Amino acid sequence: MVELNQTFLESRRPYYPIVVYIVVSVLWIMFSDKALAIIVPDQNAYIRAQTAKGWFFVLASSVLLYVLIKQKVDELVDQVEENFRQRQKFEAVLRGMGEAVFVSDESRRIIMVNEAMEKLSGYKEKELIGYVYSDKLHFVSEKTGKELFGIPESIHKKGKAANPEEPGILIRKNGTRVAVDGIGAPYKDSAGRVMGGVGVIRDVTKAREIDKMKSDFVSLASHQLRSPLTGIKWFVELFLEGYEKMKREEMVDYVKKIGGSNQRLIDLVSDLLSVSRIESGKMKDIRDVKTYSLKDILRDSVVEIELLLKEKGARVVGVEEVDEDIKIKGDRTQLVQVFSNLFNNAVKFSPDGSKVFVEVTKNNKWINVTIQDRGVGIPKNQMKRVFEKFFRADNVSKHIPGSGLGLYVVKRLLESHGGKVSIESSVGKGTKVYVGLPIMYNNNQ
Amino acid sequence: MNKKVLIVEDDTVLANALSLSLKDKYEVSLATDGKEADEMIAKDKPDLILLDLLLPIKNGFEVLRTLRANEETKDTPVVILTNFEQETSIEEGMKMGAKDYIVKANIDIKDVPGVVAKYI
Repeated sequence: MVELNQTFLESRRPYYPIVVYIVVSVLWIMFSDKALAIIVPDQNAYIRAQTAKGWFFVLASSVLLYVLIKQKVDELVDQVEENFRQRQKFEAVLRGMGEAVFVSDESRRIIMVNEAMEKLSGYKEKELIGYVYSDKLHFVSEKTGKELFGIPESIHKKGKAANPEEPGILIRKNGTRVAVDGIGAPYKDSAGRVMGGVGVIRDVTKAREIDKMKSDFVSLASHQLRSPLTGIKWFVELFLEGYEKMKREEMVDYVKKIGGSNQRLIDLVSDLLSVSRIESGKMKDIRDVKTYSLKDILRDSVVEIELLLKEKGARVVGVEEVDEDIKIKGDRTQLVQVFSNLFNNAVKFSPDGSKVFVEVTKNNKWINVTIQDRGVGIPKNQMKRVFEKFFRADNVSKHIPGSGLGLYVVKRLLESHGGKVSIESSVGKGTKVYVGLPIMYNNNQ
Repeated sequence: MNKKVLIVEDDTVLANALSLSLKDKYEVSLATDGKEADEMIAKDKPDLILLDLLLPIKNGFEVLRTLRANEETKDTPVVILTNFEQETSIEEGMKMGAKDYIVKANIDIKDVPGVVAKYI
């Protein structure tokens, strides 16, 4: 654009044909009479020839002026048309951009906005054009709520492009706030003087939410990891300080507590790794999809929790009654993880010696697996949170260890197999978990 | 008579360790969720509270708020003892009048009685 303007300005030299005309005229006036006198010595013929010479001069100079002026006018028209086309292209690019763009002049008044800008800010083009942009478009700090002036300062005072100095929010016309990021840059004339600025902004609400979720996850995960670590640390300290005076049973009790905390840590790290794999999409990469008998998967899932079953004197009932011919397709490890997590919960939250009931039914669309326990149940007001990461129901979190990640992992793994899970529960009576795996999915894979 | 310390801690292993470290010098009681903490604070009027933040039913900040709102318990010294370490929660805890904000993983169990003795 700048280069084009330069050529356009240079071509506007109206004195150029005039100079040519004057030079030719002066030469003609000074030398034409002398030349004519030499060519036409007869006096009468010379007078007629002079009249003809006058007419010839008028005609020739007119033709010359016409040619020169036309040439210049054509050049100018070409330049103007080219400039117009370039501007149209530039505007089309700006308007078509997915990111919100506004252009301002040197007095910071808006001279152009695109549709994305209208959409993002909530203002129509006519409500923005001609206004100083800081009067309409308020960019504030997400943290302090104070207006951010870093970009306009950088553009208009330093002539440099800049990003927001901290995470920003755009306050829309209706007062709602939208998380934005972007860049502001100056545009300059050939002398390097700032002629205005271009702001490119994008909605980063989703990205900021993900950032926040990630940081909350790290914060909660660290807290969860620290609890068993503190347990190990404190009991090792207490043990070392007092073992000389301890009875054997007391020593065993301390070591058991250390071992228990250590196991919690191991379980938690495994769960965190599962979550991390699920969330980074790596589960898909390592998935080995094959057809399995559901009965085999359920049997393997029971084996996974054998230690817990022994410890609590509990049993999983109904697996042997499942029809051998019911096949499911999926990743064996992941499917076993789904059902062992569910069996583990059912046993863990039930009294010692309890039974967990498994029932499988099938219709033309779904294979349904129901897992029922007669355990502590989940409080009604907390039901909607059961699939959240780190959620632990108030009535179990104190006494029964767990990471609060099991059901989250179950849900995500089932969803990645095209399946679904739902829960019914009643405090003091027990919990029923419904797992559905689609037959369509299994046939198509 | 020994002074009364209330431990508000939902992790039974940690509550057990805290209790073991304090029982020789103080009369120790334990609340394992926020609601139980409210009840025990109102009933027992402890001389100092070791308060965890992430608790079932009601979190530690809510417990602290309830305690400050009650004329009888509002001056009870509270030491926040948690593994939740975020600048905002440290600021909030201190603003709500906690005597100290200690990260459990960063303190040796043998130093806990010293912390209690400092503020009781």
